[in-house]
Amino acid sequence: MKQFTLPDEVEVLIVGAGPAGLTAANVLSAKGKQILLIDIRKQIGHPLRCGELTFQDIFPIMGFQNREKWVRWNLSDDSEDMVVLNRPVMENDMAREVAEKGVLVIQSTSVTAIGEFKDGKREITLQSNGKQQRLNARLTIIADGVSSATAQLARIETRLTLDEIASCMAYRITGAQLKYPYRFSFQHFMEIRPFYFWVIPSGKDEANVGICVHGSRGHAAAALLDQYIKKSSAIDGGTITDTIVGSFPSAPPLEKPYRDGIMVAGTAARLISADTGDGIIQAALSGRAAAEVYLSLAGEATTEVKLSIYRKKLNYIYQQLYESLDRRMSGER
Amino acid sequence: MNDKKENQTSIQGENEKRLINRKIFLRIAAGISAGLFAARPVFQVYGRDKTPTAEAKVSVTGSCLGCTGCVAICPVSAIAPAPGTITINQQKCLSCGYCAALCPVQGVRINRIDHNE
Repeated sequence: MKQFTLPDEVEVLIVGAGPAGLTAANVLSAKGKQILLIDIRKQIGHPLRCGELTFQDIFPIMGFQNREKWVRWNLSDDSEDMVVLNRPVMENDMAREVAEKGVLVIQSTSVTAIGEFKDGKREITLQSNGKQQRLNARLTIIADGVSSATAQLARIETRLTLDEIASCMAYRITGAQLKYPYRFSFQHFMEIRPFYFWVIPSGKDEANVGICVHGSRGHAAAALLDQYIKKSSAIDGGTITDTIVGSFPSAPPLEKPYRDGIMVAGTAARLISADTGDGIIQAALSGRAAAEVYLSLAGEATTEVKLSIYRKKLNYIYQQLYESLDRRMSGER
Repeated sequence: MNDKKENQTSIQGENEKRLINRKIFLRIAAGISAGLFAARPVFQVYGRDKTPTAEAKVSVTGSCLGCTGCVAICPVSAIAPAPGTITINQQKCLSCGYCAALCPVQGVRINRIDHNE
């Protein structure tokens, strides 16, 4: 592998190469900004951590042309066109594309410290392959998902309690008989919420079958899921080819997802629906909003006051997420 | 019939939730006070002469897939993400067990470690 030398200074540092980070990198690189995109994983897109179900609008929002190999399966719902993505392939390809546009993409790298905002910049300490290095960034877009460890370094309180997190586990089952190969299903139960099972077809005889439970019940997820698969009429037979685990915040979104020189996007800002765990589209929208806010500053200092339009741009997402929280609390569905 | 069954499980669920919350509160309270005043591992078993004979230690197992959910819930930020796994800072860890409760694949385990004295 080629050894990269990290620059001493960048305009925008993006932490996390998921849907939010890649969208922001794509939008900013189109305007010729100098960007560093880092990810803690060894390979972008791996391992998969979710059900991959989203709306077809995802591609125009992210600003990429739709590729056939990025979509596992098209679902025909009554109201909207839903797609099941192939996120490992999609994110890997997207990272390659933004790299071709001039974004510096580096894997196995994480942020270990974030300095104070001085002269319009923050000093960021990165750890890359065991080596520490410092660099200055005018803006840091934090999109590192549920862990939000980077936001914590910037003293943004993103820690969750067991009540505010949902633990998920899913199997990819192939060679199975599906009752509805073109429809996804969510089955909610009245117990400690959230508690639901999903069946998301990802092929004619292939499905992603999973469970989401309250954080304190995560350790029991595997046993409950096995029981469900045994009893469910939606799926029959087949073999398990992959185990997917993950978790997502079920707390309200961050009220102030920005600080001097910092914007938080995607699941790190808890922009994820509490009753279905649907967060890909919100991530892409917030990534785009963050990039557009930076472009609208046109070289001005990235102070908190200037960045506050970011929250206003996301107003309608917040509205939807609050509604989803209300639904969960009132016990609908 | 289904409704009744659901209602029952919901009541049961509420009670269980209360119990879990209480347990967690007690654990956390014990953890924080011990962490503040003693600055040593939290869950300890004491012998007759009041010296610790055993303690609880949280460790990462090989089944961790690095989903980093536990990083978000750790009350003292003792867990840090690493490529494909996590690392636990034993100095900060309160052995509260949040991470073990959350993890669907038993990626973290709480071990009892006996001191040989």
